[in-house]
Amino acid sequence: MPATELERRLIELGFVEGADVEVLHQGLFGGDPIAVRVAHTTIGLRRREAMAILVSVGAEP
Amino acid sequence: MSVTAPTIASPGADSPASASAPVVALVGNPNCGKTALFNALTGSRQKVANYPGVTVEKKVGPLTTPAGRTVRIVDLPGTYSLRARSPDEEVTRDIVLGRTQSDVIPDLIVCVADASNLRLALRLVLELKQVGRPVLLSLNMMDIARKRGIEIDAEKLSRELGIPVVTSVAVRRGGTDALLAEIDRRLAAAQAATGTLWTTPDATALRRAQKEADRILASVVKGQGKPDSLTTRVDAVLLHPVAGLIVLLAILFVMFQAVFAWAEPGMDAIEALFHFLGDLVERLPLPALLTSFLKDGLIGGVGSVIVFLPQIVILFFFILLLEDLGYMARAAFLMDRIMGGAGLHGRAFIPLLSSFACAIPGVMATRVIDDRRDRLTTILVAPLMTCSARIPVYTLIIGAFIPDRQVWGLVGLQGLVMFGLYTVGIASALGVSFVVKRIIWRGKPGEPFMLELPDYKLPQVKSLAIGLWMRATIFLKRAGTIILSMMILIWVLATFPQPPEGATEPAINYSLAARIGTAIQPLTEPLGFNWQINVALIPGMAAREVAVGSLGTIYAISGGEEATDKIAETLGSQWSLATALAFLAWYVYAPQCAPTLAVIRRETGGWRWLWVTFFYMVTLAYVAAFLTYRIAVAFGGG
Ligand SMILES: Nc1nc2c(ncn2[C@@H]2O[C@H](COP(=O)(O)OP(=O)(O)OP(=O)(O)O)[C@@H](O)[C@H]2O)c(=O)[nH]1
Ligand SMILES: [Mg+2]
Repeated sequence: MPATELERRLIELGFVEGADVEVLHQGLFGGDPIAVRVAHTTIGLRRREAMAILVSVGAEP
Repeated sequence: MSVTAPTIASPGADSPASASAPVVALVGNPNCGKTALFNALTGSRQKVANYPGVTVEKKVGPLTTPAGRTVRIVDLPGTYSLRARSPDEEVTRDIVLGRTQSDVIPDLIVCVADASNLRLALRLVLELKQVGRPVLLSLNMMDIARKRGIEIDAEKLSRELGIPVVTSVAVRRGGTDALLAEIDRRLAAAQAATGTLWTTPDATALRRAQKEADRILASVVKGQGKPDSLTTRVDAVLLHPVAGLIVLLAILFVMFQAVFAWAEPGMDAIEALFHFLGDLVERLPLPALLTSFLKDGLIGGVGSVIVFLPQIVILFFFILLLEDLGYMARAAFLMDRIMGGAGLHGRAFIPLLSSFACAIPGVMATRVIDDRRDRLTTILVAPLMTCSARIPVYTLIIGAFIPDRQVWGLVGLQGLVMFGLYTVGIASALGVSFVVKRIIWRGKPGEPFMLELPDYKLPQVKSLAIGLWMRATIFLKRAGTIILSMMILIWVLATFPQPPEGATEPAINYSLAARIGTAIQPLTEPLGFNWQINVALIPGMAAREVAVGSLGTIYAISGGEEATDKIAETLGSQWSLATALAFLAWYVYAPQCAPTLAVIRRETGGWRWLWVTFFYMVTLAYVAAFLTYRIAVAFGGG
């Protein structure tokens, strides 16, 4: 999938700059996929796509 | 079962009388309750379930508003944006933008939002406002939002968005009153559609819109702070990397044990009823031929299928319960790695799961998959999932050949074998998709898996009951139509021509059925099939369960000393174990279902994939039955 398309899909699921994210669960095999809570929505996605999201730890809640 | 997702068409849904009525389209994120609202508004019974991607096509239903206006309500597949990334989302985009051939062009768009999960919905509202048609926002699931202490200032939200905002509870009586009143008010105002300003947004535009949505959200919503605590606690177990998988297996396991253990009393009752009917017919002073038609053909044939009603109902009880609870998306999450390893798309899980009911809605549900090759792979393997029409076949053979005893003290052997057959179906689907992906469509990286995991919900008892009732009706309707007509055919074939005077062999040996069955014999000999099985396979193409009824009729007509009116006992005495196992293996793979093939043709837009499916399945079935038979014979099961 082209990077621009992936970017748009992630934004459509609520992954925009400034949103709080929290990894809730991980799969058994290689910790994949992961369940991420972004704002108040829980999304299951694979690590490969999640790698496109830049997160800073411990930022102001 | 080869019937589409349960649908009771609303009367006059597309009739010319209502063709000029204004159109109100329900648009919103997946799983926000559009179909539940549609059902509440129009009195329809479209499928509602707690996972994203249930609805994959548009549905139109009539509604008379409190002001007496006739309106056509349109239910659409859920979407996060109008960009339309998959076939189901294209349906929504085309209707919203008025790009369709049909006359279903919305005069009013009702944007439905899950009030307990507003964030993504608000961005969609901003997009819908650009379309140039009147829009109103319905904050659905208000009951859940309230319970969680989420307070939404609807008036302020309306001012911020510049569109009317109402609240609704789709699953409660009177829960749509405010929405109905607002629909009336909007249609009375009769705003004309203006030209659309919508263009496909790029990342920058989407980002800007989401930020704007977040700003509005922060200003109108209080108490969004805490996520659903029940969901969090339950997921700690159900999505746990190890415990989650164990629970998933355990659920499946209990399901198949229950299908056997709980069905017994119901089956006995139905069996007794048909036995009674058979006796009754026999006592009537009727010509022998008519008695045979009624007793062997109708009662014996159809009855032997209807006996499996309790099993079907139990299976669907579990499936519907899991769907309504919100477990399905979790199962997809847990299975993703395994499915991905087999080359299946991340969203293939739910279509494949639907195929446990019937491959037809399963094949249709693949519309949520964006990539064409991934979609084709899923369509190809969907018929390998054990559909509910196989249950009568499996149960009959298992009941006749597998002893009803406990293994390790607590699990029934019969349920275990059933579980095994399901597992073989799943494993084969994974295997075929692996081969297709690696060998035929080489080297394409896997598509992403991104799936919203909805909060758990307590199932509505009423909707569960309706769902079960509809499943039971579909099954009985099939028994009364396709299966009944095939039984009549089989009875005729097995009865005529009548034996000549002074015939020495059993009458059925002179019939057309015996001749047809014997003619195919060379083909199926290596599989250990007898001519009775051969004959049962042909009408079995119309519907899988027909094979059970056909065997019932054929053996009932054959009569003879070993034959009892219990078909299972007859088979037990007439077939070898090896034959029975080969027959099961055949049914795991064989494309014994013409309606499924027809849907594959329709959904893929051509004959090619129909034939690909047919030939690969026949080949697998033949090889599997052959090997099973040989191995069983080698182990002394001949
Ligand atoms: N408590 C409550 N549950 C609701 C309400 N509306 C819908 N539900 C439930 O929410 C779930 C999703 O409802 P659907 O109507 O299938 O959602 P949808 O928007 O049609 O979903 P897709 O077809 O997948 O886009 C189901 O379990 C419904 O029973 C509501 O107002 N209150
Ligand atoms: Mg729906």
